[in-house]
Amino acid sequence: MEIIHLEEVSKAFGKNKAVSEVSFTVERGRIFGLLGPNGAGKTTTIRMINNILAPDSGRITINGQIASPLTQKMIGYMPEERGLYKKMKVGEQLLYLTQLKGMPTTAAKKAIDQWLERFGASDWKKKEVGELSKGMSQKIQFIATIAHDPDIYIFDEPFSGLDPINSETLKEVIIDLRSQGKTILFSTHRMEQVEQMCDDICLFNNGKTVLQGDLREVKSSFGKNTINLEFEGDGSFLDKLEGVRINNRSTNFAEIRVLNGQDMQEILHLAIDHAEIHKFERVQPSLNEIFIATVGEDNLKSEEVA
Amino acid sequence: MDFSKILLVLKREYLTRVRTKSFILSTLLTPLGFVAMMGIVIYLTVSDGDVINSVGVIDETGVLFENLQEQNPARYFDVSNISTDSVRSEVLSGNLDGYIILSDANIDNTVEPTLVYGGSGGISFIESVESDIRGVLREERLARSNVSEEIRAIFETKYNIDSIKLTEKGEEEDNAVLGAVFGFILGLLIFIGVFGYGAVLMRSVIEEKTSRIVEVIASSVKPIELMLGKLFGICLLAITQFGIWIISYISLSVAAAPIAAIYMDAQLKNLPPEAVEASAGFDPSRLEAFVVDPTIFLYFFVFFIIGFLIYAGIFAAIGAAVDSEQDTQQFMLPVMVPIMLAYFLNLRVMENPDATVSVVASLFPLTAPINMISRIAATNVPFWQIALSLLLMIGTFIGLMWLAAKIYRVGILMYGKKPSYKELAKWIRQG
Repeated sequence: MEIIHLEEVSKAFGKNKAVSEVSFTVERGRIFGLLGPNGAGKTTTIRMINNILAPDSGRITINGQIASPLTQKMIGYMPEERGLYKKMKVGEQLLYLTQLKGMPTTAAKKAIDQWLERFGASDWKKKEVGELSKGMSQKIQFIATIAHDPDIYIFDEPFSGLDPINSETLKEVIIDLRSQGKTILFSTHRMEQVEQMCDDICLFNNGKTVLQGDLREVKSSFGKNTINLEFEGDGSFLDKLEGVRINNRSTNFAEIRVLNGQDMQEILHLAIDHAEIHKFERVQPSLNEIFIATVGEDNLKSEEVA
Repeated sequence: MDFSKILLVLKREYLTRVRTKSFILSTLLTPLGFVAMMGIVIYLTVSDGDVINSVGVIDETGVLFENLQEQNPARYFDVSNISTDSVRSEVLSGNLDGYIILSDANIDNTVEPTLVYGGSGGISFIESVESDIRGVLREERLARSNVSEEIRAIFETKYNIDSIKLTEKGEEEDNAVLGAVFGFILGLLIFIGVFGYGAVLMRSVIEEKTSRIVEVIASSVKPIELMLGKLFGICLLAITQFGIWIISYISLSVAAAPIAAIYMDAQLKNLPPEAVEASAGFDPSRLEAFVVDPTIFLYFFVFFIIGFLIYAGIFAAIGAAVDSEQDTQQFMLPVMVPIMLAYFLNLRVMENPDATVSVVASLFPLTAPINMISRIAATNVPFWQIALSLLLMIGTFIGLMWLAAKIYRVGILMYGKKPSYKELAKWIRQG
């Protein structure tokens, strides 16, 4: 069942078209990854879903309703640039932010207490946010996002700036939320997180969606056109390969994307001639590779080869 | 617009600020500071003649010195027996501040007397010597002309006038000076309130931007709701402070006369009769002059609130347009000019509340909040002028708020470079 739906949504700031004719659908109970380089239009799209910005054209519906102050209550949003009132006490601040989302006072207090307990932060309630460490205020920020128990959670670059422990906690909570039937949409430019967590993806570039769908389907549609090669010895033979793109190269590893359907056995022969091969594996391309391939660099290079 | 959200924002803005030390201290200390300042001013005025400049008098007439000494015994010294040269050296060495030679020609006014002085004392010194000498010379000339006692008495009479204000209720004792000063103070309070609390609002907006909480809030409330909530929250804060001051003033002014009367009665009983007579110069009922018609305070709040709303929108927009307080400078000019103008015009309004410039200043919406309240306190302002001024102010408030809200909406999510006026205009068109 669709819970967030964008239809031909466009937004421009002056002459700069931040988002143009973007359409995608987020299904209920899934983790949806919004990917793309910085400046691709992810944050603008997320702001429009949150009804912080209004689209110039197109339609955004949340649970079937056009984005409005009403739909804002259904969403817990953690922006990329995060912050809290430094001089306000943790408890008061969480109550304020939760009430703003429309939760009644008593229910809000109860929810806040529960979350503070879960994060082991009950003692901080009377402290001012300015007194907390960065990791602690990240937790408070997180509680502020989720305390009003929305159906949808939107995180803009949630892992940027998080310490490893909070990063892990966040991952757990996201997976946990999905198991409760909640929907999560997050944006990132770090592909490995998406591969670990997302059910569906949508790829952004220059304000447009360039690829979207179920992550596994997307990957398998690219076929096993990639070689993971582990070797020992002189790796310079890799430079002689034509019609390939090498990602993730190190002294004894290379991820080789084969373009133009070149015979992979030839590559193996060449490799054996020059180095000691520890592993030769045909795999689906990494998301990073898929992204580069889709955004266009691939086409450019293959034309050169042809 | 969701009023429950505006109320939530308002409540937070108000409650977090009303509890701060700086608010409590400024509420308590400002009136004390004000009283202290008034005290200093009064002290300086009264103690004007504190420094006594000594003047040597070479009296060639032999009659003038005695009269001069009557005028100011500590100032004038008879140096008629000393040579002019040694008097001059006394002046140069600083033992005398100056000397003057008086002759019969001065009495006839054929020659003007010359005060030779060492350069210290200033204008007030010269003026007071001048008035002393003038009196003495005139008196002596009258005496020499054999003028009758009657005419001399006429010359010595000092005329004053009393003023009484005629109103619908009949004649009332009026104190125009007190009213004008009071009006000036009310105007000053509005000036301070609009400026001070406008800056508080601006800083509050900047704080939400720099702490990056604004985007979280924007995902819950509309920018206009946030802005109005903040604006009215801070307005309420100012009203709280002014309310405390005004209630204290009213109760003090009402209580002052009776308390002073009781205090004096108690004292008089313990004093010998001569002292009672001496203290009769002070009548405690004079303190009743400080009791003012409370409707003026009603006007005060109306004009403050609308005045604050007019300027607060601009302050909020400036706060939203910049990333830090340092960047506000270039945008402050359009706010500073009218408000400072109103402040300076207020001096004129105090002196002459019915002059054309005062009337215009009290109608022009950007200066009206400050200048109209001063006029109302100082003179009888026709009701149509008050109504017109309110109407213009409300219109201005709505117009400016509309513009400010557009800048605010775009600005709160903009970081990085400081926008130019051109870009602000673009934001307004975008909105």
